[in-house]
Amino acid sequence: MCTGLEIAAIASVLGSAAAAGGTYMSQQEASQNAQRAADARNRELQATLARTKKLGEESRNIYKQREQEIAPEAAQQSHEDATASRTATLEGAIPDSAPEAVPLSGSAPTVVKSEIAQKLLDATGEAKTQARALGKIGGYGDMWFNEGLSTNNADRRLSVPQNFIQNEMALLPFSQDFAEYGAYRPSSGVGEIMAGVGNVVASAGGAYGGKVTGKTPAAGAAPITQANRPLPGVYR
Amino acid sequence: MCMGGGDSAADKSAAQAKKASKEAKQTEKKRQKSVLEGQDRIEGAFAQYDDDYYGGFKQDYLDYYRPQIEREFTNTRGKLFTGLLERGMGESTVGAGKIADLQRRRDEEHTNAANQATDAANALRAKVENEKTNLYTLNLASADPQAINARAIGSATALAAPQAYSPIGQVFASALQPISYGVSAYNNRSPQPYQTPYRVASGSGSGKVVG
Repeated sequence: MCTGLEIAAIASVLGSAAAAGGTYMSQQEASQNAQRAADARNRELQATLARTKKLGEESRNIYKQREQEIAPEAAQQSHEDATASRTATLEGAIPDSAPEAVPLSGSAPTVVKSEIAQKLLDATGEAKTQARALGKIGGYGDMWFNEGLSTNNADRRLSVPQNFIQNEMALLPFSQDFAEYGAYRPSSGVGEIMAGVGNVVASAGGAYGGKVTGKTPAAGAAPITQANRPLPGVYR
Repeated sequence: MCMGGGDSAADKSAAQAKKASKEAKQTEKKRQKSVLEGQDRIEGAFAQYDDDYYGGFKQDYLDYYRPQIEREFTNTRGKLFTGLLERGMGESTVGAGKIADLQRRRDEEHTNAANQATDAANALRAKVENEKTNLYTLNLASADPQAINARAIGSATALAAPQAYSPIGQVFASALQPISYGVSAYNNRSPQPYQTPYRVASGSGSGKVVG
Protein backbone atom coordinates (compact mmCIF):
# COMPACT_ATOMS: atom_id res chain seq x y z
CA MET A 1 0.00 0.00 0.00
CA CYS A 2 1.21 3.41 -0.79
CA THR A 3 1.38 5.92 1.95
CA GLY A 4 -0.04 9.39 1.50
CA LEU A 5 3.42 10.79 1.13
CA GLU A 6 4.24 8.35 -1.66
CA ILE A 7 1.04 9.16 -3.45
CA ALA A 8 1.82 12.84 -3.23
CA ALA A 9 5.35 12.28 -4.51
CA ILE A 10 4.20 10.11 -7.39
CA ALA A 11 1.51 12.64 -8.34
CA SER A 12 4.05 15.44 -8.27
CA VAL A 13 6.52 13.53 -10.39
CA LEU A 14 3.94 12.35 -12.88
CA GLY A 15 2.38 15.80 -13.07
CA SER A 16 5.71 17.43 -13.63
CA ALA A 17 6.62 14.85 -16.25
CA ALA A 18 3.31 15.36 -18.03
CA ALA A 19 3.77 19.12 -17.89
CA ALA A 20 7.28 18.83 -19.25
CA GLY A 21 6.14 16.41 -21.96
CA GLY A 22 3.26 18.66 -22.91
CA THR A 23 5.51 21.69 -23.10
CA TYR A 24 7.95 19.73 -25.23
CA MET A 25 5.15 18.66 -27.59
CA SER A 26 3.93 22.26 -27.89
CA GLN A 27 7.43 23.43 -28.64
CA GLN A 28 7.88 20.68 -31.19
CA GLU A 29 4.68 21.65 -32.94
CA ALA A 30 5.67 25.32 -32.91
CA SER A 31 9.07 24.41 -34.24
CA GLN A 32 7.54 22.30 -37.01
CA ASN A 33 5.22 25.16 -37.88
CA ALA A 34 8.17 27.54 -38.07
CA GLN A 35 10.04 25.05 -40.25
CA ARG A 36 7.04 24.65 -42.56
CA ALA A 37 6.67 28.44 -42.76
CA ALA A 38 10.35 28.85 -43.57
CA ASP A 39 10.17 26.10 -46.20
CA ALA A 40 7.07 27.65 -47.76
CA ARG A 41 8.67 31.11 -47.88
CA ASN A 42 11.84 29.65 -49.36
CA ARG A 43 9.88 27.76 -52.00
CA GLU A 44 8.22 31.02 -53.06
CA LEU A 45 11.58 32.76 -53.13
CA GLN A 46 13.09 29.97 -55.23
CA ALA A 47 10.16 30.02 -57.65
CA THR A 48 10.40 33.81 -58.02
CA LEU A 49 14.16 33.65 -58.49
CA ALA A 50 13.70 30.97 -61.16
CA ARG A 51 11.28 33.24 -63.04
CA THR A 52 13.43 36.34 -62.67
CA LYS A 53 16.56 34.42 -63.64
CA LYS A 54 15.19 33.94 -67.13
CA LEU A 55 14.28 37.62 -67.32
CA GLY A 56 17.70 38.53 -65.97
CA GLU A 57 19.39 36.45 -68.66
CA GLU A 58 17.26 38.13 -71.29
CA SER A 59 18.32 41.54 -69.93
CA ARG A 60 21.94 40.52 -69.82
CA ASN A 61 21.82 39.34 -73.43
CA ILE A 62 20.41 42.68 -74.55
CA TYR A 63 23.19 44.50 -72.74
CA LYS A 64 25.88 42.14 -74.06
CA GLN A 65 24.68 42.69 -77.60
CA ARG A 66 24.91 46.44 -77.09
CA GLU A 67 28.34 46.05 -75.52
CA GLN A 68 29.55 44.18 -78.60
CA GLU A 69 28.18 46.90 -80.84
CA ILE A 70 30.20 49.55 -79.04
CA ALA A 71 33.44 47.52 -78.93
CA PRO A 72 36.41 49.37 -80.54
CA GLU A 73 36.35 47.46 -83.83
CA ALA A 74 32.59 47.73 -84.20
CA ALA A 75 32.64 51.41 -83.23
CA GLN A 76 35.36 52.07 -85.79
CA GLN A 77 33.29 50.35 -88.45
CA SER A 78 30.24 52.34 -87.36
CA HIS A 79 32.24 55.56 -87.70
CA GLU A 80 33.47 54.62 -91.17
CA ASP A 81 29.97 53.69 -92.29
CA ALA A 82 28.50 56.93 -90.98
CA THR A 83 31.22 59.00 -92.64
CA ALA A 84 30.84 57.15 -95.92
CA SER A 85 27.08 57.58 -95.87
CA ARG A 86 27.16 61.33 -95.24
CA THR A 87 30.02 61.91 -97.67
CA ALA A 88 28.20 60.01 -100.40
CA THR A 89 25.06 62.09 -99.79
CA LEU A 90 26.93 65.40 -99.92
CA GLU A 91 29.12 64.49 -102.86
CA GLY A 92 26.23 63.02 -104.78
CA ALA A 93 24.24 66.21 -104.40
CA ILE A 94 26.70 68.15 -106.58
CA PRO A 95 25.63 68.22 -110.26
CA ASP A 96 28.17 67.72 -113.02
CA SER A 97 29.65 70.88 -114.52
CA ALA A 98 27.99 71.96 -117.77
CA PRO A 99 30.33 74.08 -119.92
CA GLU A 100 27.85 73.91 -122.79
CA ALA A 101 25.51 76.11 -120.78
CA VAL A 102 27.94 79.01 -121.10
CA PRO A 103 26.79 81.25 -124.00
CA LEU A 104 29.83 81.61 -126.19
CA SER A 105 29.83 82.87 -129.72
CA GLY A 106 30.49 80.35 -132.42
CA SER A 107 33.72 82.10 -133.27
CA ALA A 108 35.05 81.85 -129.74
CA PRO A 109 38.54 80.40 -129.80
CA THR A 110 38.95 76.79 -128.75
CA VAL A 111 41.41 77.84 -126.09
CA VAL A 112 38.74 80.04 -124.50
CA LYS A 113 36.20 77.24 -124.62
CA SER A 114 38.59 74.75 -123.08
CA GLU A 115 39.67 77.22 -120.42
CA ILE A 116 36.08 77.83 -119.36
CA ALA A 117 35.40 74.09 -119.35
CA GLN A 118 38.50 73.49 -117.26
CA LYS A 119 37.58 76.22 -114.76
CA LEU A 120 34.10 74.76 -114.35
CA LEU A 121 35.57 71.30 -113.91
CA ASP A 122 37.98 72.62 -111.31
CA ALA A 123 35.14 74.37 -109.51
CA THR A 124 33.19 71.10 -109.38
CA GLY A 125 36.28 69.27 -108.14
CA GLU A 126 36.82 71.83 -105.38
CA ALA A 127 33.17 71.62 -104.37
CA LYS A 128 33.41 67.83 -104.16
CA THR A 129 36.56 68.08 -102.05
CA GLN A 130 34.72 70.44 -99.73
CA ALA A 131 31.76 68.05 -99.62
CA ARG A 132 34.04 65.17 -98.63
CA ALA A 133 35.59 67.29 -95.88
CA LEU A 134 32.17 68.27 -94.63
CA GLY A 135 31.05 64.64 -94.76
CA LYS A 136 34.08 63.64 -92.72
CA ILE A 137 33.19 66.13 -90.01
CA GLY A 138 29.56 65.08 -90.05
CA GLY A 139 30.57 61.43 -89.74
CA TYR A 140 31.61 61.95 -86.12
CA GLY A 141 28.22 63.31 -85.13
CA ASP A 142 26.37 60.72 -87.17
CA MET A 143 28.31 57.89 -85.57
CA TRP A 144 27.41 59.00 -82.04
CA PHE A 145 23.87 59.78 -83.10
CA ASN A 146 23.53 56.20 -84.33
CA GLU A 147 25.17 54.87 -81.17
CA GLY A 148 22.74 56.91 -79.10
CA LEU A 149 19.83 55.44 -80.99
CA SER A 150 21.14 51.93 -80.41
CA THR A 151 21.64 52.60 -76.70
CA ASN A 152 18.18 54.07 -76.49
CA ASN A 153 16.79 51.02 -78.23
CA ALA A 154 18.61 48.69 -75.82
CA ASP A 155 17.34 50.74 -72.88
CA ARG A 156 13.81 50.48 -74.21
CA ARG A 157 14.09 46.74 -74.66
CA LEU A 158 15.65 46.36 -71.21
CA SER A 159 12.82 48.28 -69.59
CA VAL A 160 10.37 45.44 -70.23
CA PRO A 161 12.13 42.53 -68.46
CA GLN A 162 13.31 44.93 -65.76
CA ASN A 163 9.73 45.95 -65.15
CA PHE A 164 8.70 42.29 -64.95
CA ILE A 165 11.49 41.56 -62.47
CA GLN A 166 10.55 44.53 -60.31
CA ASN A 167 6.93 43.42 -60.20
CA GLU A 168 7.87 39.84 -59.43
CA MET A 169 10.06 41.03 -56.56
CA ALA A 170 7.34 43.37 -55.33
CA LEU A 171 4.91 40.45 -55.20
CA LEU A 172 7.37 38.19 -53.40
CA PRO A 173 6.70 39.34 -49.78
CA PHE A 174 2.97 38.90 -50.26
CA SER A 175 3.24 35.51 -51.92
CA GLN A 176 5.62 34.44 -49.14
CA ASP A 177 3.08 35.56 -46.56
CA PHE A 178 0.33 33.69 -48.37
CA ALA A 179 2.52 30.59 -48.54
CA GLU A 180 3.27 30.88 -44.85
CA TYR A 181 -0.44 31.10 -44.04
CA GLY A 182 -1.00 28.04 -46.16
CA ALA A 183 1.75 26.08 -44.43
CA TYR A 184 0.60 26.89 -40.89
CA ARG A 185 -0.96 24.02 -39.02
CA PRO A 186 -2.79 24.82 -35.75
CA SER A 187 -1.61 23.11 -32.60
CA SER A 188 -3.17 19.69 -31.84
CA GLY A 189 -3.74 20.91 -28.28
CA VAL A 190 -2.40 17.67 -26.79
CA GLY A 191 0.78 19.29 -25.59
CA GLU A 192 -1.00 22.21 -23.99
CA ILE A 193 -3.52 19.88 -22.32
CA MET A 194 -0.76 17.62 -21.07
CA ALA A 195 1.16 20.59 -19.74
CA GLY A 196 -1.92 22.04 -18.08
CA VAL A 197 -3.06 18.77 -16.53
CA GLY A 198 0.48 17.92 -15.50
CA ASN A 199 0.87 21.22 -13.73
CA VAL A 200 -2.42 20.74 -11.93
CA VAL A 201 -1.51 17.20 -10.86
CA ALA A 202 1.94 18.29 -9.74
CA SER A 203 0.48 21.15 -7.74
CA ALA A 204 -2.14 18.91 -6.21
CA GLY A 205 0.48 16.32 -5.36
CA GLY A 206 2.62 18.96 -3.70
CA ALA A 207 -0.31 20.26 -1.73
CA TYR A 208 -1.33 16.77 -0.68
CA GLY A 209 2.20 15.93 0.36
CA GLY A 210 2.40 19.02 2.50
CA LYS A 211 -0.83 18.16 4.16
CA VAL A 212 0.29 14.62 4.90
CA THR A 213 3.58 15.72 6.47
CA GLY A 214 1.85 18.55 8.36
CA LYS A 215 4.38 21.03 7.28
CA THR A 216 1.82 23.59 6.42
CA PRO A 217 1.84 26.55 8.82
CA ALA A 218 -0.66 26.05 11.63
CA ALA A 219 -3.42 28.54 12.04
CA GLY A 220 -2.43 31.34 14.40
CA ALA A 221 1.30 30.64 14.11
CA ALA A 222 3.59 33.57 14.24
CA PRO A 223 4.76 34.71 10.86
CA ILE A 224 8.35 33.86 9.99
CA THR A 225 10.65 36.80 10.48
CA GLN A 226 14.37 37.34 10.33
CA ALA A 227 14.58 36.66 14.02
CA ASN A 228 12.78 33.34 14.16
CA ARG A 229 13.71 32.09 10.72
CA PRO A 230 15.07 28.54 11.04
CA LEU A 231 18.63 27.91 10.04
CA PRO A 232 19.17 25.78 6.93
CA GLY A 233 19.06 22.06 7.79
CA VAL A 234 17.47 22.62 11.19
CA TYR A 235 13.98 21.19 11.52
CA ARG A 236 11.67 22.14 14.32
CA MET B 1 -14.83 18.52 -32.03
CA CYS B 2 -13.26 21.81 -31.17
CA MET B 3 -10.00 20.68 -32.67
CA GLY B 4 -11.81 19.52 -35.75
CA GLY B 5 -13.35 22.97 -36.07
CA GLY B 6 -9.92 24.53 -35.67
CA ASP B 7 -8.52 22.41 -38.46
CA SER B 8 -11.38 23.38 -40.70
CA ALA B 9 -10.84 27.11 -40.04
CA ALA B 10 -7.13 26.68 -40.67
CA ASP B 11 -7.77 24.80 -43.88
CA LYS B 12 -10.15 27.52 -44.99
CA SER B 13 -7.60 30.20 -44.21
CA ALA B 14 -4.89 28.26 -46.05
CA ALA B 15 -7.16 27.82 -49.04
CA GLN B 16 -7.91 31.53 -49.10
CA ALA B 17 -4.23 32.35 -48.87
CA LYS B 18 -3.48 29.95 -51.71
CA LYS B 19 -6.24 31.45 -53.80
CA ALA B 20 -5.04 35.01 -53.15
CA SER B 21 -1.49 34.03 -54.04
CA LYS B 22 -2.65 32.34 -57.22
CA GLU B 23 -4.74 35.36 -58.20
CA ALA B 24 -1.85 37.73 -57.60
CA LYS B 25 0.43 35.60 -59.76
CA GLN B 26 -2.17 35.24 -62.50
CA THR B 27 -2.75 39.00 -62.50
CA GLU B 28 0.95 39.66 -62.89
CA LYS B 29 1.23 37.01 -65.61
CA LYS B 30 -1.68 38.59 -67.46
CA ARG B 31 -0.13 42.03 -67.07
CA GLN B 32 3.17 40.77 -68.48
CA LYS B 33 1.34 39.23 -71.41
CA SER B 34 -0.45 42.53 -72.01
CA VAL B 35 2.84 44.42 -71.88
CA LEU B 36 4.37 42.07 -74.46
CA GLU B 37 1.30 42.44 -76.68
CA GLY B 38 1.51 46.22 -76.34
CA GLN B 39 5.19 46.09 -77.19
CA ASP B 40 4.44 44.10 -80.35
CA ARG B 41 1.82 46.64 -81.37
CA ILE B 42 4.20 49.54 -80.83
CA GLU B 43 6.85 47.80 -82.90
CA GLY B 44 4.23 47.11 -85.58
CA ALA B 45 3.09 50.72 -85.69
CA PHE B 46 6.65 52.00 -85.95
CA ALA B 47 7.88 49.36 -88.40
CA GLN B 48 7.19 51.76 -91.27
CA TYR B 49 9.86 54.15 -89.96
CA ASP B 50 12.85 52.30 -91.33
CA ASP B 51 15.92 53.42 -93.30
CA ASP B 52 13.85 53.69 -96.48
CA TYR B 53 11.46 56.08 -94.75
CA TYR B 54 14.26 58.40 -93.61
CA GLY B 55 15.93 58.08 -97.01
CA GLY B 56 12.66 59.12 -98.60
CA PHE B 57 12.39 62.07 -96.23
CA LYS B 58 15.90 63.17 -97.15
CA GLN B 59 15.08 62.93 -100.83
CA ASP B 60 11.86 64.92 -100.33
CA TYR B 61 13.85 67.57 -98.52
CA LEU B 62 16.30 67.77 -101.42
CA ASP B 63 13.50 67.73 -103.97
CA TYR B 64 12.14 70.83 -102.29
CA TYR B 65 15.40 72.78 -102.17
CA ARG B 66 17.29 71.63 -105.26
CA PRO B 67 14.94 73.19 -107.84
CA GLN B 68 15.06 76.44 -105.91
CA ILE B 69 18.84 76.41 -105.97
CA GLU B 70 18.87 75.64 -109.68
CA ARG B 71 16.33 78.37 -110.43
CA GLU B 72 18.29 80.94 -108.45
CA PHE B 73 21.49 79.76 -110.11
CA THR B 74 20.03 80.02 -113.61
CA ASN B 75 18.70 83.52 -112.98
CA THR B 76 21.95 84.70 -111.49
CA ARG B 77 23.99 83.11 -114.25
CA GLY B 78 21.90 84.92 -116.88
CA LYS B 79 22.51 88.24 -115.16
CA LEU B 80 26.19 87.44 -114.86
CA PHE B 81 26.48 86.59 -118.57
CA THR B 82 24.67 89.82 -119.45
CA GLY B 83 26.93 91.84 -117.23
CA LEU B 84 30.06 90.20 -118.58
CA LEU B 85 28.98 90.63 -122.22
CA GLU B 86 28.10 94.28 -121.63
CA ARG B 87 31.59 94.81 -120.35
CA GLY B 88 33.10 92.82 -123.17
CA MET B 89 34.32 90.13 -120.80
CA GLY B 90 32.12 87.32 -122.10
CA GLU B 91 35.01 85.30 -123.46
CA SER B 92 37.72 86.46 -121.13
CA THR B 93 39.65 84.62 -118.44
CA VAL B 94 38.14 86.91 -115.81
CA GLY B 95 34.65 86.13 -117.11
CA ALA B 96 35.37 82.40 -117.07
CA GLY B 97 36.57 82.76 -113.47
CA LYS B 98 33.35 84.55 -112.49
CA ILE B 99 31.26 81.81 -114.10
CA ALA B 100 33.29 79.13 -112.32
CA ASP B 101 32.89 80.99 -109.01
CA LEU B 102 29.15 81.08 -109.47
CA GLN B 103 29.06 77.38 -110.23
CA ARG B 104 31.15 76.67 -107.14
CA ARG B 105 28.64 78.64 -105.09
CA ARG B 106 25.86 76.58 -106.64
CA ASP B 107 27.65 73.34 -105.79
CA GLU B 108 28.22 74.50 -102.22
CA GLU B 109 24.53 75.30 -101.91
CA HIS B 110 23.69 71.79 -103.07
CA THR B 111 26.16 70.40 -100.55
CA ASN B 112 24.65 72.49 -97.76
CA ALA B 113 21.15 71.42 -98.72
CA ALA B 114 22.21 67.76 -98.64
CA ASN B 115 23.91 68.31 -95.29
CA GLN B 116 20.81 69.92 -93.87
CA ALA B 117 18.67 67.16 -95.33
CA THR B 118 20.75 64.57 -93.51
CA ASP B 119 20.52 66.53 -90.26
CA ALA B 120 16.78 66.95 -90.71
CA ALA B 121 16.39 63.21 -91.30
CA ASN B 122 18.40 62.53 -88.14
CA ALA B 123 16.25 64.98 -86.18
CA LEU B 124 13.15 63.27 -87.46
CA ARG B 125 14.54 59.88 -86.51
CA ALA B 126 15.29 61.17 -83.00
CA LYS B 127 11.75 62.46 -82.72
CA VAL B 128 10.31 59.13 -83.78
CA GLU B 129 12.57 57.22 -81.40
CA ASN B 130 11.61 59.52 -78.54
CA GLU B 131 7.94 58.95 -79.22
CA LYS B 132 8.51 55.22 -79.34
CA THR B 133 10.28 55.34 -75.98
CA ASN B 134 7.40 57.31 -74.49
CA LEU B 135 4.99 54.67 -75.72
CA TYR B 136 7.08 51.91 -74.19
CA THR B 137 6.91 53.70 -70.85
CA LEU B 138 3.18 54.18 -71.18
CA ASN B 139 2.77 50.55 -72.12
CA LEU B 140 4.57 49.40 -69.00
CA ALA B 141 2.53 51.73 -66.85
CA SER B 142 -0.85 50.89 -68.35
CA ALA B 143 -0.44 47.34 -69.71
CA ASP B 144 -3.45 47.96 -71.90
CA PRO B 145 -2.62 46.82 -75.43
CA GLN B 146 -5.76 48.29 -76.98
CA ALA B 147 -5.10 51.77 -75.62
CA ILE B 148 -1.45 51.51 -76.59
CA ASN B 149 -2.40 50.44 -80.11
CA ALA B 150 -4.61 53.51 -80.54
CA ARG B 151 -1.96 55.76 -79.06
CA ALA B 152 0.80 54.23 -81.21
CA ILE B 153 -1.18 54.72 -84.41
CA GLY B 154 -2.03 58.28 -83.34
CA SER B 155 1.60 59.08 -82.64
CA ALA B 156 2.75 57.52 -85.88
CA THR B 157 0.21 59.58 -87.83
CA ALA B 158 1.23 62.78 -86.06
CA LEU B 159 4.84 62.09 -86.90
CA ALA B 160 3.98 61.69 -90.56
CA ALA B 161 2.23 65.08 -90.68
CA PRO B 162 3.91 67.60 -93.00
CA GLN B 163 6.12 70.35 -91.67
CA ALA B 164 6.76 73.84 -92.99
CA TYR B 165 10.11 74.58 -94.61
CA SER B 166 11.40 77.98 -95.67
CA PRO B 167 12.41 78.65 -99.26
CA ILE B 168 16.10 79.31 -99.81
CA GLY B 169 15.84 82.97 -100.90
CA GLN B 170 18.47 84.77 -103.00
CA VAL B 171 21.57 82.77 -102.25
CA PHE B 172 23.62 83.92 -105.27
CA ALA B 173 23.06 87.66 -104.96
CA SER B 174 26.61 88.20 -103.79
CA ALA B 175 27.94 86.63 -106.99
CA LEU B 176 26.60 89.57 -108.93
CA GLN B 177 28.09 92.16 -106.64
CA PRO B 178 31.18 92.86 -108.76
CA ILE B 179 28.96 93.45 -111.80
CA SER B 180 26.44 95.55 -109.90
CA TYR B 181 29.27 97.48 -108.29
CA GLY B 182 30.56 98.21 -111.79
CA VAL B 183 27.16 99.44 -112.95
CA SER B 184 26.80 101.57 -109.84
CA ALA B 185 30.24 102.97 -110.30
CA TYR B 186 29.41 103.87 -113.90
CA ASN B 187 26.15 105.54 -112.89
CA ASN B 188 27.83 107.42 -110.11
CA ARG B 189 30.85 108.41 -112.16
CA SER B 190 32.17 111.96 -111.78
CA PRO B 191 30.66 114.58 -114.09
CA GLN B 192 32.57 115.86 -117.15
CA PRO B 193 35.25 118.41 -116.29
CA TYR B 194 34.56 122.10 -117.14
CA GLN B 195 34.51 122.91 -120.83
CA THR B 196 34.36 126.39 -122.34
CA PRO B 197 31.22 127.08 -124.24
CA TYR B 198 33.23 128.93 -126.87
CA ARG B 199 34.52 127.24 -129.87
CA VAL B 200 38.17 126.75 -129.73
CA ALA B 201 40.13 126.67 -132.92
CA SER B 202 41.63 123.38 -133.56
CA GLY B 203 43.98 122.01 -136.06
CA SER B 204 47.31 123.20 -137.19
CA GLY B 205 47.98 126.75 -138.29
CA SER B 206 50.53 129.46 -138.13
CA GLY B 207 50.78 132.71 -136.32
CA LYS B 208 52.76 135.77 -136.81
CA VAL B 209 53.68 138.46 -134.40
CA VAL B 210 53.35 141.91 -135.88
CA GLY B 211 55.87 144.19 -134.53
